[in-house]
Amino acid sequence: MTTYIIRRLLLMIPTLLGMTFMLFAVVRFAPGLTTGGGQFSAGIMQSRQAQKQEQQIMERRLHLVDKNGHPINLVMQYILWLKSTCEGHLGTSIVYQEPVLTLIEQRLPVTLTINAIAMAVIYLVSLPGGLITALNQGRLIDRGYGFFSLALYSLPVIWLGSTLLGFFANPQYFNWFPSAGLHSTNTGNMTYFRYIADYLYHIVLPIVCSVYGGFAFLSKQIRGSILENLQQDYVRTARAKGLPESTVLVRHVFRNSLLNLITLTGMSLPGLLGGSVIIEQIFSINGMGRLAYTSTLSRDLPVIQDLALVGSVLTLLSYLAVDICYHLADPRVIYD
Amino acid sequence: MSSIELPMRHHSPAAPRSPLRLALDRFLANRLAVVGFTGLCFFVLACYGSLPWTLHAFNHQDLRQALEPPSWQHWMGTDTLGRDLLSRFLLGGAISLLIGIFSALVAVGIGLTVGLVSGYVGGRLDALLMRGVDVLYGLPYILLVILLRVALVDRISHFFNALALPHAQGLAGIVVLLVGIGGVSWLTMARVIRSQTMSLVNQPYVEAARATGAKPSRILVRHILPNLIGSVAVYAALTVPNAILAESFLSFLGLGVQPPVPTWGNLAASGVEAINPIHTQWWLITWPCVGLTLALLCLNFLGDALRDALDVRTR
Repeated sequence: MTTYIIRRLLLMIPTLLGMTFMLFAVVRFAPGLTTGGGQFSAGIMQSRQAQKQEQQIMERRLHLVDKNGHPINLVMQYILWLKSTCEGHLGTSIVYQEPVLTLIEQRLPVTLTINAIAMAVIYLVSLPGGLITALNQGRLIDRGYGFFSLALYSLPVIWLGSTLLGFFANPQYFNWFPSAGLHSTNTGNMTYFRYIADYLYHIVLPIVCSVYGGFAFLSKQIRGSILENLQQDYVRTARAKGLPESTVLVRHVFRNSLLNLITLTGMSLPGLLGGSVIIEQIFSINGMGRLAYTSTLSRDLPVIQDLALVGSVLTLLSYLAVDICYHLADPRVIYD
Repeated sequence: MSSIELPMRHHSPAAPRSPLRLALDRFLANRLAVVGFTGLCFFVLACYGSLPWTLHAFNHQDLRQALEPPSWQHWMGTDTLGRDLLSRFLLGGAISLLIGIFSALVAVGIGLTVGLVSGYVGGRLDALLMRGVDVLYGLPYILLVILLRVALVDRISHFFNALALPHAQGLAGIVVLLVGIGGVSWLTMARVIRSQTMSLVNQPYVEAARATGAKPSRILVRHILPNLIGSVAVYAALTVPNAILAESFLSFLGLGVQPPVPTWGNLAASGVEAINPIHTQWWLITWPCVGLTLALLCLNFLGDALRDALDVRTR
């Protein structure tokens, strides 16, 4: 097993190089480059010469040109970036004038909280949902659940999000929820639990938006794998030897169906950190999704590259985690 | 050949039902699927049948009639520039569906080719192609589409301008979205096709075909491809709604098709701006979103039923 893990980790390197190079190439192929935070402080007042100077410094910092101002080719740019990354220098955002790590530290907690709660809710509904629909295959409850989860899945989040915002966070209709932001204005004199409650109150609507579309896929997958397991020989054997139906369902059917869940859960782990651009945009939440989105729009190269790097590493690690968990859960699965 | 085969089929009354016939029966027995299919046909007919009219009317402005609620003259009301929302809705639907269907075609084309080659050839090429798929899987797809758009849209719109096409910017946006969304949604398809091809290659009939000296191309097209049609249909049907949704997301962010060319996504996006505490022009956001929801619902019902009809596991 150890050798397997080591080999997998080594195999990750070329994939990782491919991922980062791919994004690197696309980012740098796209025209334009932000001239930096200076443009807001003094940029407009700067002389054209000073602006040009700033641009040149930026280009040199990003290894777009060498010391003499000659352009560097793409592969060489990538190698230079790789070198400084391997030395532990993650980039500094041009727009925010802050290290990318600091930016991630600021943005990650919100996104992670919303996604973790949303994922928990989705699993809490989909697991029993999938089980019940599978056991009642073809009956009204199965078809009804299938219909409604698919209907929810088909509702575009741009509509539901903005409608929720328009009706439940609007003084004219129902002023139940705050329309933007993550804290009330008077957080200073709140107790710790009040503060947490206030925070949760602010992210109710975003969580609703991240949750409602998730039931269809997961329930359907669980339903499918339970139906598949119900037809297995060992289930028939268990019933034949007189085990109570509940034991058969829990110990033989449900446990084996959970195996398929490992893959699904593992694949969704990187998404936990990603954040939904749309939801964060609608509710004005400064999370990871919005960071990636605004950086792409403003061509903030260091931020895009480092976000891609972090994202790729996490994706590959969760693939590995899936395979290891598979082996732990089902000893029949052996990797050479 | 066919003149001999056809009469024979007619004369055998108790012929076993073909797999296709079986799947069709299962499909028709699913009422939701029939509803989905009918609904989709309705949308396609309405959106494309009205093109001769909407293509002229969609950008006709009349500021005296701006922001009017639905009436007999304008069934869906008018927008901020006094344009008839119904004609924009219909044309927008036509463009959204077009993007959905063509992106799915692009995705099927790439995914099928990569999956077939990877599964059939195996070895080094397979490893290389699958690492490539892994690489693309890891990248956030919205980011990829945004970057593609940024990189390509100006070049393509210059090209369209040179051809003297109207709304060159909007058309270029459509083309980039087609390619971009299609270019990132073939990955799952490729994986599924690859694994199925790998198991099909070891079937006795493929071995028999190879023993008779059939060329790889013939084996792929005549023996393997027909067995994959089920999965291809399912994934294609499920890619269409996802592509339409992706288009609406990107248009909502202002990165999709640019106005005045309408799509359901950018109509909804401009409708969102109309939700404010002072005046709520509900019709601006409701119609495009209702269209989007209903079309997605029909497509998802269809895809789901196709999967159930063609999936051997749950039979």
